Amino acid sequence: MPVAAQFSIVNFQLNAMLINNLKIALRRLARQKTTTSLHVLGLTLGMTTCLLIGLYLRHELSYDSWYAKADRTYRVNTVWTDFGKKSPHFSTPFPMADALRTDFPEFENVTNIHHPQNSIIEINPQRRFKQNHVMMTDPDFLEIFDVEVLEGNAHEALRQPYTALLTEATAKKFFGSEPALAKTFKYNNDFDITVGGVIRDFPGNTHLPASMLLSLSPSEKYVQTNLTHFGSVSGGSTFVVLPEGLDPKTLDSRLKAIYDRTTNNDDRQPKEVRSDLELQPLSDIHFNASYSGGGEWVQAVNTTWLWFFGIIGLMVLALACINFVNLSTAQALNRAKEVGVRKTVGAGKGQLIGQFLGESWLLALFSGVLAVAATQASLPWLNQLVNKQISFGLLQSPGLLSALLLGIVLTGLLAGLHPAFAIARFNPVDSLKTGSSAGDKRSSLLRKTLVVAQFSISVGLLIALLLIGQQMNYLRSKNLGFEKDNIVMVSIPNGSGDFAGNNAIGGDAKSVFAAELAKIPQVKEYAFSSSPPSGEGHWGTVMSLKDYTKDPNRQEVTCIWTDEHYYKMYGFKLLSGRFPVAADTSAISQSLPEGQRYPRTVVNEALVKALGFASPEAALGQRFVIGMNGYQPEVVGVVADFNANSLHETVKPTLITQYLPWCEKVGIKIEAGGDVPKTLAAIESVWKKTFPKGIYDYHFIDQKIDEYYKAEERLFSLFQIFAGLAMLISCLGLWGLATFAAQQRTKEIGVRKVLGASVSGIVGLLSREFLALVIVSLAIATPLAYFGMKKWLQDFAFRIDIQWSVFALAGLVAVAIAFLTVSFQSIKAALANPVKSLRSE
Amino acid sequence: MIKLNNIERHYNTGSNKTWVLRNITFNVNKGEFLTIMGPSGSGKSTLMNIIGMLDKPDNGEYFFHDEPVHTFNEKRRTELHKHSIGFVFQAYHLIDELTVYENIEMPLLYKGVSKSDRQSLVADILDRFNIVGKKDLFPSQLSGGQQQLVGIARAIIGKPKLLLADEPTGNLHTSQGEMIMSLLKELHDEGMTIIQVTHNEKFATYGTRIIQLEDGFVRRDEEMRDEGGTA
Ligand SMILES: Nc1ncnc2c1ncn2[C@@H]1O[C@H](COP(=O)(O)OP(=O)(O)OP(=O)(O)O)[C@@H](O)[C@H]1O
Ligand SMILES: [Mg+2]
Repeated sequence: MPVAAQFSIVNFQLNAMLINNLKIALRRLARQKTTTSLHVLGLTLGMTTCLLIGLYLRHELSYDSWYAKADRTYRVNTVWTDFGKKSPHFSTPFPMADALRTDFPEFENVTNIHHPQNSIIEINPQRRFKQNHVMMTDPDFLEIFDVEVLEGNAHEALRQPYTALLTEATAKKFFGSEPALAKTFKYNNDFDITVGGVIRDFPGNTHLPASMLLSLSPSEKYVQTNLTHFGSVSGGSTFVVLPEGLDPKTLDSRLKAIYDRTTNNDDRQPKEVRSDLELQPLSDIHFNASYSGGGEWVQAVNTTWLWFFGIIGLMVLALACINFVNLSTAQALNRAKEVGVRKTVGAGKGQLIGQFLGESWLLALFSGVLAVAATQASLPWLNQLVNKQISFGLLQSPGLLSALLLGIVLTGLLAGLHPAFAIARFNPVDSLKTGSSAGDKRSSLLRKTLVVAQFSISVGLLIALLLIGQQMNYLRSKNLGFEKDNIVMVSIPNGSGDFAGNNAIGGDAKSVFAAELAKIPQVKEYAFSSSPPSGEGHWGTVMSLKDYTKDPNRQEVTCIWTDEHYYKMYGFKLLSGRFPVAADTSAISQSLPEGQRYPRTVVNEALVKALGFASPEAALGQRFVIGMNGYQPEVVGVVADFNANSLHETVKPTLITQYLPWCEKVGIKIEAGGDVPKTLAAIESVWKKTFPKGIYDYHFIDQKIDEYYKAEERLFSLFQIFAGLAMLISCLGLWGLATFAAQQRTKEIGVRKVLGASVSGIVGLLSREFLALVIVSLAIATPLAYFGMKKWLQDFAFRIDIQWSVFALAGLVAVAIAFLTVSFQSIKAALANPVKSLRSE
Repeated sequence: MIKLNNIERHYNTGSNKTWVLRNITFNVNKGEFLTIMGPSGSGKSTLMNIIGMLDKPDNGEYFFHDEPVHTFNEKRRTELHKHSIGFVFQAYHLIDELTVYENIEMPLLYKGVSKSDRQSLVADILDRFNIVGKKDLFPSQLSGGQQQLVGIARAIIGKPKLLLADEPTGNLHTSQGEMIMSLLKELHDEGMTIIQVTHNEKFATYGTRIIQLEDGFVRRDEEMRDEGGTA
């Protein structure tokens, strides 16, 4: 016989066997409805969870990775060194891009991305609004970030001054259905911008989701920053694309040269203070929070959470597989006879293993299909929860499809391998013996181990849930050390044309506005300041007891500039001294000669400690030097520490002093419980009257504070759901095992009942074993969860103490759930009529 | 055909050895219908399993068609019994999820018989056993006697050289048992070598030879006269 023909016969036989096996599998699955549904439900839940987590992780990991030159693209960061202390920042001075172009002609692309502070768009005098996510840049941006141009000559547009590329969404917002190309609009009152093209909306996975690109133009007023100054940054970044094969490390000395010749050579600056450039791979940006938030618009993701989710995803799948293994090996006895028969009619071990593995693959495939449907159905909900646009697109993405198939095959293998081997191992002589019920000892030990593993995971997750929940609650409710309720923040526009009466940021504009505010009855108090206590743009500088320029021990200090109402309105707790009064302003006047400017200042406890004063009282009357305007603040009062940042951060040395010209914001405390919309409308109308050319904007500071934890809250809800699913799956498994154990022991229970055992005695008999396993799990999970959570909490400077009651509670809940799950079956078995259970043998 | 030489088998119970088969030596010729009898626990099933190559003796030699089975590993034994031996069980041991047709067909699948051959072989046997009408039923829908018919059909479909039947009538009423026994006799008349175990004196007489086991020893081994039945 030719080889091919022989082969086809073998193939043919294989198919016949496969069909036979498939048939038997399907019939068995259909007949054993409980087991099948438990298997399918568990696997489907596990796979769905895994898929959702996988999609989420895929989305996060895809950030900025899809550009053609992504692997050669770097962001140029500034690293400030201050007496050995390094602080990295994602921003570079405006002229840095040109300097890099000159110094590094070999770079394939260099682009300057500038984020103007304020963007007011005027389509026509009736339609004026603030536009977010405006970016000024050059044509190289289009090449680095693979911008898809829909209309116009985008490169040319970015070469011409005062030209804009609008994204589709922005074009629609500005001009509706009319074609946007060649239309014009006014930018920040003074500039006429022509639309030079329309580009595709940026996808969800870029850290630079601009709403429009403006060309760079040589006007400081237009870009709102200094065009030539290397000494400061204004939130813009520089990106470079290195030529293929160039190691960025080889560029270090040439990069150094740029700051060395522009700022580090400043004689007034100590040698220990310098700036440097550093290249950060584009792919790192979304995951590295150390560069002041990772970027302007999209916060870097906390990779701990990503690990967390990845682990949970795998755990959930593992739980589902463990269920499968447990239930299958537990039920292996039911199949012993079949195995015996098949062996006696000539089935080899391999064929049997193939058959049983095939069954688990069939289940895995079926569950996989269900899981895809469930994922599809729950994706919108996941997107809403994490505020993303994650897409599934299984058919468009061959990678995802093959990953899914591989996942199904692996799941089937993981779930089916052990049961298949255990079952195929059965000795036909034993398994065919009538009335044989010899259990497989090895399998039962494995089963117990797996149940323990499963419960350990569940208890661990439960502990994590409780502790994270406590911490989130703490974040929401901690006393921050100042009043934050019912305070509306409103900005005072800077720039000449904005104020109807005068052109200064301070002085008259504020007093006019203040007088108007005072007329609104619902406004209880108001205070001008550079920022509220909760952050939103604190100023920072260095401080020292002596000449800070030469002090290697100088420290950073946060500065808040205020009026005299600030202290009272925000309700700081005074530890010693007094709050400044209006008369104290004279001490900071710019007309005083440098060296004699002693602003009367309130400091926090952290500053008292940092400067080494013995106590809040001892600090009173002391002066120190800060790196600003030659000021030597004099301490008149010390307040208790307050949280000027998110609770992730420790309290930094902070000073609060009066200096009205730098107060760009006003906090307005409104009557609680009053007609808030009416009050807000009144504030808006007096603001518009005072600043007719400005764009009014307001927010409540407590809402802004909540935003610090939004991302965390979102991830926590996600975690809650996934952990809940994990526990559900493990309960399913326990329930299945309990059902099976009760079935197995029906006869034993019948005999015991006939012999006079009580129902409660039998329930105890059946439940005891499971409870023992749960207790072992507790012992394993507790220390693991403790160390895991301790690590997680370290990310918060302000955190809850881990209390042992949490572990006790988790244990209690786990035991209760296990007991309920198991005892339901036990009670059912115990109540069953013994005559029936004995007869069925 | 079968040559047993000093076959011994023991089980370890705790620290003790319990001997189940001692010093078993006999031959079975082609075409014989051997009945093994003996009290419960005397080792009949153990012996059947050894002859059926499902179990291995601890000592002794076992030749099947001159092949030294006692030296074979499990794989070779499986290969040999798959092609040479059919089993009939007291508890029928049909597979619940398969129909009558599929149950009978199963050994052919493991032997790698082509589809058309399988169809005709199964059809023949269904016809012969008069159960064509039942071919699509599941075992649970059959009476005990019918199930055992299917069990025998499955055992002989692969045309084994030897048929082993361990108490094939043990679970059956007398009339059904007689039906099964006459079927076995018929198979024997067609030339099949059969070894059966039974507790039933009458059914023992269907065979050509009786071996009596007691405590693992062969106590009696006698040929019967041809026209079956001392009863
Ligand atoms: N796996 C085992 N472990 C220990 N002893 C066993 C085992 N299997 C069988 N035996 C013992 O071997 C002896 C013979 O068993 P066997 O099943 O061969 O008896 P039998 O003659 O077939 O009995 P019956 O007529 O009841 O079927 C019995 O005493 C039994 O207890
Ligand atoms: Mg027996």
